Amino acid sequence: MPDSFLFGAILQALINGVISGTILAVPAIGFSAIFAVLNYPNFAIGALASVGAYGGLVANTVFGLPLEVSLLAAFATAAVAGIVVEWVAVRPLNQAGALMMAIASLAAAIVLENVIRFFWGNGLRGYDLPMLRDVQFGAIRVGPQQVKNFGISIAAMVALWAFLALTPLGRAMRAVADNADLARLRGVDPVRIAAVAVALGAGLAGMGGMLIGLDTSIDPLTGPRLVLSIFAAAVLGGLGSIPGAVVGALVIGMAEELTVLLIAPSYRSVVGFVVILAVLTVRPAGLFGARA
Amino acid sequence: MTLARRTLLLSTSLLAAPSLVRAQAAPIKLGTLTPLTGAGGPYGPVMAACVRGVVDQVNAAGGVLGKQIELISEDDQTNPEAGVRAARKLIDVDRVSAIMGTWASSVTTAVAPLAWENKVFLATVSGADSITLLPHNGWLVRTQPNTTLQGKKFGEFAVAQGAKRIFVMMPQTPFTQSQFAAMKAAAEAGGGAAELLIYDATKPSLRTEVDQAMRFRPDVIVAGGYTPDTSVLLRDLYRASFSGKVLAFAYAVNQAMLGAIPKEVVEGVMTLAPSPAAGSGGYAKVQALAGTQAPDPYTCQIYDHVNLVLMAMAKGGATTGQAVHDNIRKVSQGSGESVDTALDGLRAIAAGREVNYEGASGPCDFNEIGDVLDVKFRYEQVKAGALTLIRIA
Amino acid sequence: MTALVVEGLVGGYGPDDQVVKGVGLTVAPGRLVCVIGPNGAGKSTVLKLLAGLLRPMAGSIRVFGQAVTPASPRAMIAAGCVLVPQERNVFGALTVEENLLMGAYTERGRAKSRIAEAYARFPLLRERRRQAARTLSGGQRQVLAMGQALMAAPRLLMLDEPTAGLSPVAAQELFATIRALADSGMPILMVEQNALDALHVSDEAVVLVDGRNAHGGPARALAADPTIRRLFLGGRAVPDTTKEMSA
Repeated sequence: MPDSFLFGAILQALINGVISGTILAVPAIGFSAIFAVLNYPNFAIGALASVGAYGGLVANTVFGLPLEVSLLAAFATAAVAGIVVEWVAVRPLNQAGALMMAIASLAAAIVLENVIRFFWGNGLRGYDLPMLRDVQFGAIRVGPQQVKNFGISIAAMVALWAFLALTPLGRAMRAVADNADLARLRGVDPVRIAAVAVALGAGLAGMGGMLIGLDTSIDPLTGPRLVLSIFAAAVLGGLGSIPGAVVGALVIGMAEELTVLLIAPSYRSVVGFVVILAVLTVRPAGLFGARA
Repeated sequence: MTLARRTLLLSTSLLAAPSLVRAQAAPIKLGTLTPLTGAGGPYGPVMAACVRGVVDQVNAAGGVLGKQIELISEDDQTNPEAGVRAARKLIDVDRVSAIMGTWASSVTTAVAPLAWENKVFLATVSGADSITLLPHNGWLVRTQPNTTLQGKKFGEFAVAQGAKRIFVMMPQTPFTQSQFAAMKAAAEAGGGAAELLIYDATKPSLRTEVDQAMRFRPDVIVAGGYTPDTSVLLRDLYRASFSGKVLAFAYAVNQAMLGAIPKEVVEGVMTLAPSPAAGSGGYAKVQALAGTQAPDPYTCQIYDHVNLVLMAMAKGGATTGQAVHDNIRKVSQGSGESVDTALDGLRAIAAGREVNYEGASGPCDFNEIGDVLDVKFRYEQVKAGALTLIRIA
Repeated sequence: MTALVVEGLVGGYGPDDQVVKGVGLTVAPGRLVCVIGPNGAGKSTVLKLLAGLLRPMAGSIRVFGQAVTPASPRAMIAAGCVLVPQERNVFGALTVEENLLMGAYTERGRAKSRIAEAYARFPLLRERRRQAARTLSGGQRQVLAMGQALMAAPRLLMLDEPTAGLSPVAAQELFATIRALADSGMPILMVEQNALDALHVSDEAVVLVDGRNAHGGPARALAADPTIRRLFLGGRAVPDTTKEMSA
């Protein structure tokens, strides 16, 4: 490949990576938020992303709601499912430790996945969206839907930031994540905050699932296929750190695209494993993590 | 993760078992191992139901060698690990004589050694060349033409469409390399060039891969994946305004996909598939069993599997896997009376006559390593959102 | 009226792990009362019981004459008893201002006016209000922790070993701050390991041994009492100083 050719290809891959990383950041934030407040990795996050994607699908194709409203429906469906998972599967085990809770979340993921299958089957489903051609800027190609999803992801993150930084409930959630004992002493109800964190985390996952589905189509495994990337992004950023999850997701997104270009496309899923391995070896706390 | 699912299915089949056990002692046990979930999920349930239909008919007619048949259906999840666990259950717990229907080549490759080590006969619809090259000593047959043959047909078809530069995009499968080699050979024989890109089938977007493909400046792109990843790929090809022709496997660009993705994305895509023997007696029986005018090739093939297995048992006078192993070619080919259902075949065998099974998927004649000898291919193109037949050849 | 009257307080970490076996306390408005005693005497546990973190098994608690059941931290905040715990007593990732706001979590409507009071009392906190609490020095963190507790407008402030881990200079500064707070009318109940200094700054003291009141009275008198000096002060002063120096 001539140099300018390779340069254009790398630039294109980086742009693709930033966009896919930004979308990946939405469920990764959800995963990290749950970890920060409840101290266990909720591996149902992938299945919850699928639940959200189907919730949004129903809103969009059955009720004919526009995309933005359907995304809120995706958030709400996944948030409810997340709370059910938390209350039915995970909470009863909270004395048994984080590992047991993580396993319970895995089991719940299988149930959710099959509930989706029960109602919608295995086949692909698509949202009611116009299919648009990409726009070409010199050597760089960008899709309108891609840009829109990028914008929606950014908007979701800004809304989340505002919630966490500016509202008493958001502040209380950060306080619990930082120092749960002190938060309790200041009158914060840990059960209520846990519910908020789960609803928020699962809701973001559901929104992320739908955002990814908008660009492609959805099936019950849409979310579960992302779990490795989500987990790698959260580990890289530092488990429990929300800015970390964003940066981690961007890095994973770009690394996955560059792997396609510079190594081989089939090595893409290796990126997640390599990142997890490297972080655990070199800096277990991750880029932004306080806890080891 | 899959353990709970397995337990659930196990308990479900345990619950179902009493109703299946008839008065006779020691029924014949047969297993289907089809994908109820995963990429093969659209096919597996129909396949299992078709076998159930055949078994019910044969049981109603008195069974085989005076014994009723008990069918155990398991899910391989289109996943080799899950497939091996399910096969172990069929072999160790249910003690089946034969396993039918493994779909994905990766699953068949993983399950085959378990089958031959335990003298359980395996009939599969997988196409990877490597499968029949395994040291199975006659313990498996397949009704799907091998992937080299499919690749050759793909290549020839592309060249026939006037292609000079063929870019092949496939996920990693046991047949990716061999199939590509056959395509490349066919393309080069026709004066063209071909290049392969192996992508990760779990990726939600294949934009960067499509960029790679576009840099090759192909006039034909072969989309060689399964339905979920192919639908991602087709969308990204559309977005990139790829103006050449797209060829894909019919098992990927199927009715499920046409219903799920925008029409303009799949418009013009050409598909190729081993063709069932449309118009044959066996095909008509599958149409009735599956309740559709256009049963998919795999349902046709598994229909042939169960008929062949039951007739081979009758021919050998025993209900073991060994009997199937020793006798399957005595009922599948030769100069005997032509039959297209086990009901007819079992009567003929009981009357001491030779039979030659002509199935729903084709003539069902096998060579010494278990490859099917003669199959037709069906070429279709998506026109105005529907698959339209170009030709069967 | 007396700010706090505790009688016959019994409690701990379970029926088989009673740490506090019968403690009585009285704190009058504007008085600084310290609780001292050897390790394991139950000093911190008394505060946890009074803050609603642990449920007492027996005893009565009255705050300004009103009987209080320490069912939860929320209930005790409502009753006016607010605790500054010993360690990790600020939210490190939150800003100074957010830490103060968390102090008024149960009465968010009043947060604005109280934050102005807190800044007036501790001008340092106003200067650092946009800074993450983890960037503060040890002494500043203790000030923030107290400021946070004061945001709940307590009727009784409880401090659990406020000078633990501070340098001697920072500890003296903090004691001065605590003293000034008491002098402004706030009743304070303070647990201290650093017994000699605590007696020096306090009005009254209670000495706990094995979960029970062993001695009590005016701090000055106790500081001069040779028994107390021998039992708790002489032997402890040396290791405590080393601990402070190394911290």
